[in-house]
Amino acid sequence: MSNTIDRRQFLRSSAMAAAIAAVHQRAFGSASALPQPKMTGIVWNKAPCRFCGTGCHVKVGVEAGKIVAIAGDEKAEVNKGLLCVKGYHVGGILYGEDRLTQPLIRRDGKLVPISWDSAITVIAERIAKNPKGFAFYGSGQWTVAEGYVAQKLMKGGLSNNHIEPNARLCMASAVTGFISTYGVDEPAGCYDDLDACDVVITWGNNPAEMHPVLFSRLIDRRSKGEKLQLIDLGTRRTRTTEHADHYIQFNPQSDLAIANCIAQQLIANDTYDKRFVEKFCAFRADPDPASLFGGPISFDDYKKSVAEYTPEYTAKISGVPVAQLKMLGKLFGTRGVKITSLWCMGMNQHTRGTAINRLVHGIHLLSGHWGTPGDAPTSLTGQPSACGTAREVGTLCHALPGGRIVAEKPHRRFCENHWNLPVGRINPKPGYHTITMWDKFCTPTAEGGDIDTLFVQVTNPGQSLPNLHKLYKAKEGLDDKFLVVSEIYPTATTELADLVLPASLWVEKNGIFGNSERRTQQWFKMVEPPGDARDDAWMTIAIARKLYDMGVEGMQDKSGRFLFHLETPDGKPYPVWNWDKYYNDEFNIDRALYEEYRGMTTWKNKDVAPYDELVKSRGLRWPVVQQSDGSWRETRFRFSEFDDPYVEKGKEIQFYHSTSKDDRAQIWFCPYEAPPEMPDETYPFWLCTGRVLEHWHTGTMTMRIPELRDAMPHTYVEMNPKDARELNLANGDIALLKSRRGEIQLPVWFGGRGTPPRGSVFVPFFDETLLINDLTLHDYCPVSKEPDYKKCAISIRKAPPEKAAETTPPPTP
Amino acid sequence: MPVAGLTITLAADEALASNAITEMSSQHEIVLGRVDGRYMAAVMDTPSPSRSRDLHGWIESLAGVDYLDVVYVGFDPDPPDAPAPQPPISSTLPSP
Repeated sequence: MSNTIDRRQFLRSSAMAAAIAAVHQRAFGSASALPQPKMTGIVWNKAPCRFCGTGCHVKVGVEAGKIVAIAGDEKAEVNKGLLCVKGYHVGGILYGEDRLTQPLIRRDGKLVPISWDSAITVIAERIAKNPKGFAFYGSGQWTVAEGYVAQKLMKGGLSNNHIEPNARLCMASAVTGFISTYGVDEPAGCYDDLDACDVVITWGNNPAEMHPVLFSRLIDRRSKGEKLQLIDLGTRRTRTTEHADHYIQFNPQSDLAIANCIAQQLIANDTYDKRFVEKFCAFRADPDPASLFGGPISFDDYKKSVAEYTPEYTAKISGVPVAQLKMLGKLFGTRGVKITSLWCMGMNQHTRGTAINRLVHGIHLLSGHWGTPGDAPTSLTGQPSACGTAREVGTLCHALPGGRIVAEKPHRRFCENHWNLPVGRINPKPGYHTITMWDKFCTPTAEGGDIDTLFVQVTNPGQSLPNLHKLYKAKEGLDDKFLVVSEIYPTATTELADLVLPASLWVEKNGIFGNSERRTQQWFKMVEPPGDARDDAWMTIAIARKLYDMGVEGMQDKSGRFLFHLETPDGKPYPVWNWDKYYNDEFNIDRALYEEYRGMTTWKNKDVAPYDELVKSRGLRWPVVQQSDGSWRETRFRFSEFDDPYVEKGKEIQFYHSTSKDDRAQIWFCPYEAPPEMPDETYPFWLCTGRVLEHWHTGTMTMRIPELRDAMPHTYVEMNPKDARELNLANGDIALLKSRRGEIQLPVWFGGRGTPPRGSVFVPFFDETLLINDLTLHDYCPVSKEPDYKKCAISIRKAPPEKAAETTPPPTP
Repeated sequence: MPVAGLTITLAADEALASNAITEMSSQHEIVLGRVDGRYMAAVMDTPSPSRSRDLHGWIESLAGVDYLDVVYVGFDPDPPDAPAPQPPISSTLPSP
C-alpha cells in the first residue's frame, strides 16, 4: 500500500516538475534546470513519439520492464516539452490486451500457431519459387534500418523493385512537387519558420487536430502578444478555422485555380519579385502526358498561361469571392511580410497532387517569399518516418537510397558498389507502385495478377487503401495468393492474412526516424516485446538468410558473403540473422545498418548525422556537416547561403540540384482541371476523408488506449446541418452512404468539430469496423501515383430502420 | 488513475485569468503550480479517464484559459476502475 502511495506521489511530483519546466520553456524560451524527482527503479530515456511526422520527443519512464510515465521533452526543439493528446498516451500503445505474441498461419480458415523458423521457411520458399511475383509493402513507420534492409533485400538481393511504403498514399505528391521544383526532395525550411513568419496559410490543412504541437507553437506566439495572421484555405471549417483571421472556402480541386490566380495578380500588378525570379528561377510546364520534369517555357509563356486566372474567372471555378482572392494576391505581392505555407494530405491526396504542390512552391518563388526564416513553403508529414525511411532511404518502387533512382545507371552502379554486388544486379525498371501492386495481388493470376506473395510490415492496407473492394477484399478466395502480415495487433489486414508475424513496437526495439523537417532522431530499446514478438528488420534479414541457405544467388554479394554481412568492430562476422544474438551489449545492429546506409546519403547533400551524434541529441536536421573543430553542424535552411554549407560563397541562394542545371528553381504552370469524379444527380455529395485529433491513421494503436478510444469510439459522417435537415437526418441518426464502389452506414454528426459546406461531407477513416475506404476512389495523380482520398461522389439517405438497427450506436457529440 | 502535468495559457485579460485560477483552485483534483507570465503549471490527479477528460474539457472552457497543453502523463499499472480495452476486431485468432 505504502509503495502505491509513494509511487502516486512520485507521479504527481514528476508531473509538476514537467509542467514547471514547460512553463519556464514557454515563458523564457529555454529549458529549466529544475531537477527531475528521483525514485529508485524508474529509468528515463528519450524517444521520438511513435505517431505523426511532427517528431516530438518524449521522455519515457520505465519501471520493472514497463512504461509507467510519459513526459514531453523540454530539451527537444520540436516540441519544447509539449505533447498532444495522442503523444502523452503513447506509452499505452504497447499494452493493448490483444497484442500479437506468436507467429500464426492460416489452416482451414483459422490462424493457428507456427514456430518462427517454420514461418520464415514458408516465406522463403514462396519467394524462391517465384521471386518476381514477390512484393514488399511497408510504411513511413518503418525505422530507417527496417526500411533499409527491406530495400536491400528487394533491389540488391532479388533484383525486384516491387517494394513500396504506404507513403505513396500520403507523401508521394509532396516528393514529386519538391523534386520537380528544386531537383531534390524535402522542405528547404524547417519548424523555425513557424517562429519567424508573420502569416501562416494552411492549404487544405488542419494542424489544430493533425499537428497540434506545431499549431500550439503558432498560437503560443499570439499568447505572447506577437502579431501572427492565420489564413485557412479549406473545403470545410475545422478547429484550425476557429483560430483563423480569414477562412477561405473553395470548391474541391480548385486550389490549383487559386494558386494560378495569385500568380496572375503578381504579374498583372507587377508585384512579383523580379530580382529573385531573374537570379534564381526558371519556368516550366507539363507536356502531354504529364511528366516529372516537364519542359522549359519562357516567362512570357508562363505569363500568357496564368493570364486567364483573373480573380473574376477564378471566383467562378473556386467559389471564393473576388475580394478574398485579391487579398491573397496583395498579400503575396507585399515585401517585408513573412509568409509560411503549410500543407499535408489536402494537397497531396489529390489527382492533381504534383501540380498543386508545384504551384504553391511557385507562388512563393515568384513573389520572393522564399529563403529567409519565415518565408517558406513547407509540407508536413503524417507518419514518423515518411521522410526518414520512405523518402531518404528510398523505399518507393522507383527509388534507391539517398535520392537515387533505379532508372539511372550511375545510381544503380553506386549502390551495387556500396553493397559489393555484381554489376547489373539492380533492375533498372521501376516496380509496381502501391495501387498497381495491390491490384495485381488481388487479380487472379490467370487474368494477369502477377504478384502472388505480398509481405506487409508496419501498416494496415486492409483499412487504408482506397477502393477496398477492388484493391484488398478481392484477395479473398484467390487460393494461390499468399499474404504475410507483420503486426502488433489484429487488424483489418490480418483478417485476410495467410501468415501473421508478431512485431516489436516502438521502444521495444532500437530505432531511428526522420521527421518532416529533415530531422533524424534515434532511440534505444527500453522494454522487451511481449511473447515471441520480434523486430521487423530481423524478420527481413532472417528471410534473406533462409534464402541464402537455400542457395538463392542474389543473397550473396560478389565476394560470396551473405547480403547482410556485418562485422563487429574487431572484424568478426556477426550472425545478424540469429534472434538470440540480435540484441547484445557488444554490437548494436541498428547502428551498424544505419552507418552502412549513411554512406549513401551525401550525393544529394542529404548527409545524415553519425549515429553517435544522434544518440547525444534530440535529432539533427540534414545536411549535417562536420566542422573544422570536429563538431557536427545541422542545417536549418537549405539553399540559403547564410545557413547551408553547400551553397557557394557569394551565391546568396543556390538550388544546387536544379533540374535545369543552372542553380535555378522551377516555377511551374499547371492548369486547373476538373476532378475525375464529381457530384451528379445520382451521387450528389462530395465525400472527403481524413483523421481526427484522438486517433492516428487506422486506429490500430490509439483504439487500444482507453482514454482515446472512449473519447472517440467510432467514426461518423460530419454533415452540414441544412443538408441533414433536408434529408430528415437528426444528430445520431444512421445515414446510408453510397458511392459507385461501395456503401456504408454511419451515424450523423453535425454541429461538432467541423462543418462542411452544403453538398459535402467528411468521414474519419480510423474505425476498422466502419471502413469508409470501401467508398473512396483509387484514381491517382499521373506523376506521383498518389490516390485522391479527399474527393469522390456519394449519395446519402436515411438508413431504413431495419438496417439502422444493425449499426453501431451514434457518438455522443 | 491518470496523473497529468499541464501547462495552462491564461487569458491576456488579468481579471478573467484571476477568475480562472480561483475556479481551478476550488477543484481538489487540480494542484496549481508556478505562474510565469501567462503560463501556469498544474497537475491533474483523477480517479478515472472519463473524469480526466471531463476536467480537461472544463478547464479549456473557462473564459480565463486560452489554451491547455498536457506535458506529462503517469500510468497507473493497476487502475482500479478502468474498463478492459476491447479489441476492435473479433478475429479468428486463438486465445493466448
